[in-house]
Amino acid sequence: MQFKLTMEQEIIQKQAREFAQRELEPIAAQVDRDGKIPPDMTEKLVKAGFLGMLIPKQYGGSEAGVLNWVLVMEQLSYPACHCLEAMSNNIVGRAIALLGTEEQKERYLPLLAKGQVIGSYAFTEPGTGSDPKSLVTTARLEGDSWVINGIKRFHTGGHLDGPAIIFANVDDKTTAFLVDKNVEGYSCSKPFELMVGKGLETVDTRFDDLRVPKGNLFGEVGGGFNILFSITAEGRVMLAASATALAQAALDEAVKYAKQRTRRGVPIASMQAIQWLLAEMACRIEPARWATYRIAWLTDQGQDTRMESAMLKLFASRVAKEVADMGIQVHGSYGLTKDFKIERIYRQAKMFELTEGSSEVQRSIAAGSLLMR
Amino acid sequence: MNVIVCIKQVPVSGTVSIDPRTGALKRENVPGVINPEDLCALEEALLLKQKHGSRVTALSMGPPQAEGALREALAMGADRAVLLCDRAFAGSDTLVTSYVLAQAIRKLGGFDLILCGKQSADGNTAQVGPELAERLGLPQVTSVQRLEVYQERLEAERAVESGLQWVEARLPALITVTRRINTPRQPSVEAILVACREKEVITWKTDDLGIDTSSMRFLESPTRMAAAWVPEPRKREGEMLAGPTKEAVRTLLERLRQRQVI
Repeated sequence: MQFKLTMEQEIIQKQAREFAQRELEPIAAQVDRDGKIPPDMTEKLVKAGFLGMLIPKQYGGSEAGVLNWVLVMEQLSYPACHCLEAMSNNIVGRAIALLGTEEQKERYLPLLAKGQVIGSYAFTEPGTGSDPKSLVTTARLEGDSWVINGIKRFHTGGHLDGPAIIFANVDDKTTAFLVDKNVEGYSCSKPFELMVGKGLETVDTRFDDLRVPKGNLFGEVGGGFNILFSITAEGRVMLAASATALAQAALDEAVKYAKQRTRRGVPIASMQAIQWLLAEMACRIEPARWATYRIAWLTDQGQDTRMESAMLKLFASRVAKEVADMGIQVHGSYGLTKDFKIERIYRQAKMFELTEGSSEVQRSIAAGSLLMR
Repeated sequence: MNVIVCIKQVPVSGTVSIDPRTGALKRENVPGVINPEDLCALEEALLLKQKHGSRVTALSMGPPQAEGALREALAMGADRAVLLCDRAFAGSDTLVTSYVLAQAIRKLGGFDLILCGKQSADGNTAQVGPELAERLGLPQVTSVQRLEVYQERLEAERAVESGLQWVEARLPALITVTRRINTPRQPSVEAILVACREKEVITWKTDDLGIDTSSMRFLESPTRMAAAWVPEPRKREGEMLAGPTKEAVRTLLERLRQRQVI
């Protein structure tokens, strides 16, 4: 067993790190304040090859694999800059590649790989949260179309043109559909104002007799849960990578601050209270990182990682929150000001315990898997 | 046109320390990158490839991990990559390095232009390029920040203390470049995967280069490193400019003019 990245992984990681330093770090604070993402960001991500990493080569992707993709996501998340909605093309693309019909693959995958459309997926609803058994959105077959009615809440990228994977009940059976966004019958609210900053745009999407071609049934009637679990398993690994990166950023900022800030003529880094905080931060990040790499590797081997990814997200999201909290503590009151990156990191860290299934959901999944053995 | 680019893998800035016993840099298990000025040399070669259809060969002397630098060069667009790797090369100074590189270049043969970075980020000697040119009997132009290549000649712009200098040279020639010459491209994920999974990095040892290691003693450097240490940062006296911002800025500009910084 070797706990070492391969040469290929190191080069990809390095390129992603340089991209993040060059393109994201300089704009991160501004994007957090005003949400203005450079219009050519998607184009830059495409040119770097980051959008098609989980899409097969025959459809224009690079088939780089989940571990390579996770290495990229970790580096791109480090600047704490919410301008990476296009990266969801990898999750949506992989789902279509694994579970879609040939017609669906040919229609959507090349566009997703080239960033010409932005993919997304939406399960949560206003009154039902993320409870899979309480879906209110319905779909019925009328001639050659499925007619969908309902609302999805916190749909990230729901306002951007492209395919969305939407879950609805067909005769009380959870079923998935590929929906072209922004067509007749599909409408969006304005983005929520979130504590994580303005760059992340998440909306309500409403379906009023939205007609979707029969061929846009994704999987089978009643097969929605399996598709949901498949998508969210990768989503969890992605979020774990982002959470780890954010925690690392918090640690690096805290170390930098502790070395510079002086009290009574000495850096606060020489004080035991600060040193212990830094040590606690560091010893949480390493296990989160290597567990993320391992689960990504297992996914690449074709293994079912529902339980592992749930455990991983539960752990990594807690790491991000705790480490960000300790990072602010090192900064003292200066950490409350927007002059320091730690303020933005702290606001963003909480998100990981709530999105893509809350920590409570992850506990239920992990416990359910354990007790089935 | 055939272009050879010499690249070196150097430690990531801030990750290397000095062995107090030998004075050498401790490079084991330290992450490496292509030396920044060599990266610019490679980019310049790739621009020539785009313009003239040149064939670009990346050449590096280093330990096995230097293969990573060559894979990156292939991902950027180099056509061929050669690693000179042998235990006998360990600890080589610039004299031995230039000798080994020259042997490899003679073996590769048929080149029109050799591009090197002006100096490495770890050694900072700026000697290998000029030594290599002398060994190969080539005209050399160093510290180039702009390059135009024609059929049998080139024109190079270099910055000197008194201003800019334009130098013309006949091909084949050797050029060392500075970071001002270009901004290196970033290879895509697809290109990295192809470079790592499908392309070959040729490895040559002393036997392949016709180097008799028993005779390498004569290549021992006439100089010896006496000591190496990290100097203590020099404490300088600063001056705080007080008063309203506009006034402070005016004073600052005056100070900078007096010191001929601007």
